[in-house]
Amino acid sequence: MIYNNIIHIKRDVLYRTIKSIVTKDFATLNKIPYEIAPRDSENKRCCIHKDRAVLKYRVMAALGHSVEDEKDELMQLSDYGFKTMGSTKFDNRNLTVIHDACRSCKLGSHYISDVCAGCVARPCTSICPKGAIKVRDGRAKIDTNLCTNCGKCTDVCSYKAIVKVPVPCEISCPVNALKKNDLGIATIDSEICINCGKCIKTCPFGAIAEKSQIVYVLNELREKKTINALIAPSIAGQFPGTINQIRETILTLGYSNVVDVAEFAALVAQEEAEEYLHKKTDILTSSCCPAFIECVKKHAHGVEPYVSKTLSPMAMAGKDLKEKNPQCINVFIGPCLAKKSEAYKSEYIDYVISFEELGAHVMAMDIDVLQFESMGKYDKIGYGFASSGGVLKGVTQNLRDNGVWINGEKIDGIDKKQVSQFKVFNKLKKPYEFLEVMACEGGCINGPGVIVNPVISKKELDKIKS
Amino acid sequence: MIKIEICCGTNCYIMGSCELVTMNFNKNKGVELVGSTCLGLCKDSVKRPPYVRINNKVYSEVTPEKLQQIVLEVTNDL
Ligand code: SF4
Ligand code: SF4
Ligand code: FES
Repeated sequence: MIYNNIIHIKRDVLYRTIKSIVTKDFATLNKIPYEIAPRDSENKRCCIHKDRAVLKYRVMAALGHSVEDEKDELMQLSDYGFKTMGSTKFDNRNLTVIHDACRSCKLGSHYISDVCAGCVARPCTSICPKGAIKVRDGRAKIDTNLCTNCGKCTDVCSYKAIVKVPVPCEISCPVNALKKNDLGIATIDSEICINCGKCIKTCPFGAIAEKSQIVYVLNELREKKTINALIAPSIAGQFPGTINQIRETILTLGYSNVVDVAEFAALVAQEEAEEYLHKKTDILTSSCCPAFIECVKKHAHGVEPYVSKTLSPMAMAGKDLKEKNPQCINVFIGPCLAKKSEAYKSEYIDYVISFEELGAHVMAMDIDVLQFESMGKYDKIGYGFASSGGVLKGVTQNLRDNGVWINGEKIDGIDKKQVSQFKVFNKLKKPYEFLEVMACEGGCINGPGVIVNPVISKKELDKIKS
Repeated sequence: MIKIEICCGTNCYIMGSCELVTMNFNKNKGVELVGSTCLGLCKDSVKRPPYVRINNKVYSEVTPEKLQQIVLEVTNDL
């Protein structure tokens, strides 16, 4: 993800929210919109008041609430804060649409840009079957009342002046879970949504926000329980400093243990290799990407028989910890939104937070990662799981150690086209024996909750692996 | 050679310097980007990281766009 204003605001909101909670100064929550958008600052939307209104909802989501649940517009952020602190219950709606932030981008509308030269040939006017294009003042214009968005005009213009204006969120959603309500505002159908988080990354207005569980975690950290931080392999390169320094930082935040999920990823590779040897189907697919699993369950039942039954590295780590100490609380820290949904249904994981949320917590506690000892050791195969192709490599390597050579294939990112392929999976030729699927292009290092541009984290990851 | 210190302390890194350090400026422009440990500026109550320091002058809330501009400014003064 390329750093942009939305990301900046999102992190600022998280940081300030967490700061208010850890200092137990709930009244400061109400000030956050005014601190981030102070009087005389440059407004990002129509006016500063709208900026602040949206910021309020962002804080609400950071506190763990769905914006859709707002009943009383006058309810203050401090009240929402108290509400979260007083409970341990949340639901499995992990995304929330900030209606005030949504621009109601128009569905598939066509627009003739400045590039139009008002030419003599005017092929657009003749090709339009509805007669919707007229040239006025030297420029072609579309009458939106007549236009049916058939798209014929886009191809005929020699200047490529006619564009189809995309609705970013709808385009990004691989399963068409985003619909518009009567006002044109985006809504998410949670029955269809696979929690891939692509829409969060895509909406240029930041209208789709992730509901955070961080405040629940802060609540738990306050009581002296055994709280394990399960860190995803993709944590490499997310902070300045080494894995060891990150581990020390997390311990300083008050977690009792830091558990490398990478170690369990190595076990998963072993187990999937084992499973491969005893499988009854002709191919096997990986099972660690929860967005893929949800996609199969909700949209492509035909793939289900092929999916590995091996637990994900997260679940495996959580299970191990709960078996050793049933009272412990497991917090998974990763880049993934879909893990929230997986964890919600799993008895092994209690909370899921993102790298961004961890980062904001570190900021709020004023901890410098670089102050700690940098050396430590980490598993090599396991860390490979964080980027596309890593699971495949782990499994094939394990099989090779058993003297079995197989063809592997990987699906690097799930989009609309890929979902339609999954729907006819049985009919497809499968010139491979093992298929790795990751919903995010490039793998987990490009998940919706990462801090760092994947180009950089990939380099860090490669350093660890080599 | 003008040294452009980009703070890579935890606060600045998370708030965007992780992106700034990847930017490429022509060496012949006479500027050099260097990552630095926490410049100690984030300890203010009003935090506006990421910070960049050039010849003791501090810039706050630096975005890639702003950094481009800053580099232009300092190289124009050369
Ligand atoms: S892209 Fe964003 S602003 Fe546009 S309709 Fe979708 S949610 Fe609304
Ligand atoms: S499936 Fe992905 S893109 Fe679609 S609504 Fe859900 S999280 Fe957003
Ligand atoms: S982290 Fe940049 S000034 Fe402290």
